[in-house]
Amino acid sequence: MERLRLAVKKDGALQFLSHLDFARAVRYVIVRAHLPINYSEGFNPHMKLSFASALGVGVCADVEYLDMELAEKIPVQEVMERMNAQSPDGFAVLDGHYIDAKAPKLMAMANYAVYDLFGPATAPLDQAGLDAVLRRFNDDADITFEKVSIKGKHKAREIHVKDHVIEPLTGTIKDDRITIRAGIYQTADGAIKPQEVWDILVNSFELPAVADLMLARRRAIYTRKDGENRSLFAIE
Amino acid sequence: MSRTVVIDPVLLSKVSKPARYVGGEWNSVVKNHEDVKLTVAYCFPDVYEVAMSHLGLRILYALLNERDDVAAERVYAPWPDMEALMRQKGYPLYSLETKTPVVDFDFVGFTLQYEMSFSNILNMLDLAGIPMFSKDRGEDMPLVVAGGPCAYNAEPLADYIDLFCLGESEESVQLLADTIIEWKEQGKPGGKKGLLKTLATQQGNYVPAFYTPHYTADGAFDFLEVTEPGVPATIEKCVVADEEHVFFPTKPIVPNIDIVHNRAVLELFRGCSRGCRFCQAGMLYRPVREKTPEHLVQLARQIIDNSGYNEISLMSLSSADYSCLPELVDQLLEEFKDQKVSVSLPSLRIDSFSIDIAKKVQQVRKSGLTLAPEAGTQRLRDVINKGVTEENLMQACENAFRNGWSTVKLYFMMGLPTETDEDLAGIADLAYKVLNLYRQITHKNNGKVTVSVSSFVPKTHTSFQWFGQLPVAEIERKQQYLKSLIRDKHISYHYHDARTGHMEAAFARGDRRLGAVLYEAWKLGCKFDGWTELFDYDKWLTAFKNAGVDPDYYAARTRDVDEPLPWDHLADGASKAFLKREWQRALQGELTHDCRHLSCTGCGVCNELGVSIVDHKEGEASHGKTTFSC
Repeated sequence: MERLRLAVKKDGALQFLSHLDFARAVRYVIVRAHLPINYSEGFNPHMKLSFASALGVGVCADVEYLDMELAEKIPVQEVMERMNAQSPDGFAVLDGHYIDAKAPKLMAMANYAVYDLFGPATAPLDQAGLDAVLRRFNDDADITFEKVSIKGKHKAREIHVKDHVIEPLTGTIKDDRITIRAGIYQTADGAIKPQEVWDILVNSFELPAVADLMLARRRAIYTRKDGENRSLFAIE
Repeated sequence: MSRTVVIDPVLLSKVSKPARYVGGEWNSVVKNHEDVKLTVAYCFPDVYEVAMSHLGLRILYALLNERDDVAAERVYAPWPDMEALMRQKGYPLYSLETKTPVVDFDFVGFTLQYEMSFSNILNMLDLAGIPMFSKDRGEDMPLVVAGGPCAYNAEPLADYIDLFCLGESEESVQLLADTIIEWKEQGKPGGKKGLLKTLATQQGNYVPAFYTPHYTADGAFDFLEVTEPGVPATIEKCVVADEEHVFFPTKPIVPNIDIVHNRAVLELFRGCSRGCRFCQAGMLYRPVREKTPEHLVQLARQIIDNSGYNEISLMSLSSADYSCLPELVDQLLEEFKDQKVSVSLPSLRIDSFSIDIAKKVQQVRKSGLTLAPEAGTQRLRDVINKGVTEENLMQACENAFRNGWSTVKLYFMMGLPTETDEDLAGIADLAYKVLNLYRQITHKNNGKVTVSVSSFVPKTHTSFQWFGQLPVAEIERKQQYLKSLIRDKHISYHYHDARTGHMEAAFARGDRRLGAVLYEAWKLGCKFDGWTELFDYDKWLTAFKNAGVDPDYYAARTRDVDEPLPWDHLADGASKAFLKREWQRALQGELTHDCRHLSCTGCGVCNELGVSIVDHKEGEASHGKTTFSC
């Protein structure tokens, strides 16, 4: 068994796909590319394919990672060419490396993601005004947020935002469109969603925007250790 | 110059399933409108997931896009949340491929799959900024065309559609495109009317503006007057004689989101001559014409390679009747054995043979089994000419239970001609017999029988076209009566909303006066009427009232077999005498055999249209059928 790790992108027509839809679209590409991918045993065999994260509807990614198990070792360049020749608008394979079969799972490694949050300003806002909003957020050490879990019978849980937003937010404004860059750190307790960061800025820090008028683009995803962001291709 | 509609993605992110509205799917065809001579917007009047599952439009889309001089694109009905956004922001209805406003196309084609989608057609025209009524559309407006099964009773839509196309379009659509291109290149002689006059003389084409209906003093439909010289009094459907070599798309559009039927589709044959008397498709698509298994396997290989699908569905009106089914299934399983591609049969015949095939194709995963006895007693099954017996059903279920199935779904209809409460009790009885059979065979109590009962809607061009539909209250009484007979938690009982069936029945056999009702309904906000949560019966009744039309004149009245019918001029090739004979035989409970295997039963389609049955297993001795050996 050969384990291949690929860096791919999700945007364009695929931007609005849920994680399940995106995963299905990737499976179609793999079949069309005639890759010798392995399947699970059992009544309902499924591809040995796993992703670093579950990107939500409306979230683009400049880079997402996936692992697949191949029955034979095909040169990475060839895999990329074959897949890219069969990719729909919004998907592409950017890079790839064969990794050790025993390397940690992507889901276990990926714990730091950088997003751009993007939405229209609902009131006049200049760079100084935006910087002031972000400074208040960055200076506030104790921001909490009630997370209501749908699965856990609507049990509310208190999240300390600064456990997850560990670097200062930055932002720009151009043509009345706000862009905010937020790094989100995943701990053993979970993480905060990009949408939730936006909501907090709108609801608690007077960012002049509408809570559900926001699109997120993930700029990068890393494994973070000892305060250092490393590539998901870098396996110790 | 072509315009495009640009929708702010931030706004799009607020609607449900935005991917419905962005296009970009694998195998969708994007062409520059400057490089083609004809632009076609194929419209399906329902939401993306339903529309994308329809094979007919996919065939025509791929077929026209094979031509360098034509760009065919897709347009589907926006869900009400997206419609609200479009109306609020002033976005017109646009195509998925190039985001071109629908109003900028040369030709806008709707498919008419079910009557309850008609309100969406009006709404889509309005969203496109195209005047709804044909008479209000100027020379600068696209030609609005419609086809599909409901075109056989075009009259309720006659005020809105410029041209209806009857029958199978794979060949005729080429002529249609050529005719429009030639007309454009010649400087549009005679304007749009000139074009329609040419088109009206071609087979299958009905231009309603060239015909005027007349009614008797007491308001009954009397006759249709031909008002334009040179157009035919009767419009006969188009039919593809050579099903083996007709175009079939091998590069299906692969949707990015899940749709209703998200799999590769192989069409085994066209037509069905079992002759179930309630079935409109069985009449409209005659005669039976099969493809060869060799050709089907080649098509399947290309479709899987080009799509990436891992499931292939064997589609036809009655796939288990395909004469070479065992060979085909074996060849497909062999072809794809290393690729985890599964084969599925959407419709099963009620016999043990079908279960053997189902067993073969569902080697990996056992989904539930669906069988359609349609009626609860032998007497009523004979009336509807559903040639199956209780013994057939029990043998099929026994085979299934012995092979590991534990869930059986049984489809029935309610409100059929001559039906009594005894026939309904027969439905409950069959459900119990099937469940008991499961317990007997497996000695387990985990069997599940689902009984699904729809209310019967009489359709044109069938031998039940004269039958008056039962009143809503009577259907609802029958639904409750049957419910009272089913008292086992292993049997679940589902039935359809009788009120939707009532509206469907009015439109299914309506005349041109229903056009006004449709307009009233649209004004009241009726849309997506096939969706239970959006169907509003009261609004529809108000629409009928506002238009001064009684729905029961169309839905509930049993017609005299000799009265003129508003769809008599729209011919599927079968003779009215045949339907009358079948109606009489139905009332006497007499069966009519399948002409595919035995002698001709005299519907007249083959002679009238110059085509023949193509069944690869029936010998030359049988009645001039075209036959080959597998």
